[in-house]
Amino acid sequence: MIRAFNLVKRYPGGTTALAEANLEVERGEFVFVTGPSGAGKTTLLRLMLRQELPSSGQIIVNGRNVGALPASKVPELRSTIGVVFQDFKLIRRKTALENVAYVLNVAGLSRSEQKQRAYEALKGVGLNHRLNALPPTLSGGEQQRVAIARAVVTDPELLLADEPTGNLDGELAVEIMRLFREINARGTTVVVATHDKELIHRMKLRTVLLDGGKVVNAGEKPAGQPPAGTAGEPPAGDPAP
Amino acid sequence: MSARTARLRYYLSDAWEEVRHSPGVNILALTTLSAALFVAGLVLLVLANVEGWIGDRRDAVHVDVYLLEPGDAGERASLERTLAQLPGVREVRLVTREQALERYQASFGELAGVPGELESNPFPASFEVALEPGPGAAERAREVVESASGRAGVDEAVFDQGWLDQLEVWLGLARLGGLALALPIFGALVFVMASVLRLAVYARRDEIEIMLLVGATPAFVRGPFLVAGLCQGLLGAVIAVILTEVGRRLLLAYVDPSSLLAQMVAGRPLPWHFAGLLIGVSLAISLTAAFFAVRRDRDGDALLGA
Repeated sequence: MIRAFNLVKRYPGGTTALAEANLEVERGEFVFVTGPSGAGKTTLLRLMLRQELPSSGQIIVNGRNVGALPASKVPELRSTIGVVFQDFKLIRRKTALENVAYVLNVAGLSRSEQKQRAYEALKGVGLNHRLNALPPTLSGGEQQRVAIARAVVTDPELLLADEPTGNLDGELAVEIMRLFREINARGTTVVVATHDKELIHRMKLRTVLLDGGKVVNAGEKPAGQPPAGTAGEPPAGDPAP
Repeated sequence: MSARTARLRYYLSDAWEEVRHSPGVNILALTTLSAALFVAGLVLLVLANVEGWIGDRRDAVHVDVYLLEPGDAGERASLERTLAQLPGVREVRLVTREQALERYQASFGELAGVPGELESNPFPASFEVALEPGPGAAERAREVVESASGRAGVDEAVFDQGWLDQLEVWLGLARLGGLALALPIFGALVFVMASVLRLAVYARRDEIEIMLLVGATPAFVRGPFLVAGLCQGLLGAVIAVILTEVGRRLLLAYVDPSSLLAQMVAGRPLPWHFAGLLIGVSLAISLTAAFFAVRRDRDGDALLGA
């Protein structure tokens, strides 16, 4: 699903965010990308999403050479990727349902189809009782669940999450991770950038360690992780050991 | 519902959302546009009225054949028949000395008493030769002047419409000047509108960013802003046309409608083709401004704020 070869990202001024990074993520995998601040986690995700271009090297996402992708093909790439941010990025004046349904305009769905699919997505994250709530009236965990529903409502092949639990306390973070596991169990490849060591330890999933822009440990797929598209592990179960 | 219909519906509903979300910014843009178009509408109104007034004068082409006093009735009757048979002549009407005096007194109210101070009526009798209106009327009028001049009993034949030619020259220059002024004003208006609309785009940068990240093309994201711009352009032009008509009626309410000022400025409403021109220009301005307001950033990836 994702392959990075000697990936380098330098910013004007000489800062090197990624230095010859190599990485491979299989379709259907669940991978944590971790490392200290400035290790290059966010930059790696931004490169996958073509929010930035590599200075050198290549990054292939779902068979597309992202760096060489013409601008006109970027929307096509992004339509296969769901994104979750630390700060949720919800539209404050839209309800939970509208926030999720809004992105389906891109797919050209009718208003009723949008609402139906948004409802299903919100139900999937356990928020079908807060459909008409505005983001400021939702807790942090609820806001992040709306953001996750928005990210998966388009049935993406790849889900990228940048510090999705950074603003949440421990129990809520575990709850969010359980949702990611459910999504992963349905076949979506999930890449989560986080510096939360305790969370990573509890989840016991493949963890890629970045430091100084290099992949210092590519991690290993745990023996227990199910192959793509199969829910070998009960999705609703507590991921904690 | 087809994808195209769904997209159009999204553009319209999101354009309305855009207006609802930033009412202040949109009112400012609309006011700027309407005010500028209102001024343009007033200029066009005056232009149309002056043109119409000149046209009326042109249509009423006539030659005054002033007669020697005292005149011979036989000579005058012969002259009248000759003039009536000339090509293009519609009517020959005798204006007696008394009628000429009455006309003077009716036209120059304050100076009406001046001829009375003289010993006798100073106005000569004349034939008023009216010609068929239309192109070539001026040429035929000159032929009447040639034919009448030097005939027995004729003092002078006058076709005095040179001033209308002069006025038309000035009008042409005014049109050119207006056009030369219109271009920089158009540019300035686009700049102001684009800056104002850019504020509206900036206010929605979060939504734009999200839409781009979920695979919306920049054209898709631009759509609602362009639709909002188009609606704004249409509304701005309609407001300007209405204000122009209101201004015209107000002027007619305060100024004597038969006065020269009223006739040359507000005698007739803004013609449809000028109203259409205003709407077309308004749409062009607002669409150009909206396009610049949501143009891509230099990296070619994101719109403003994304």
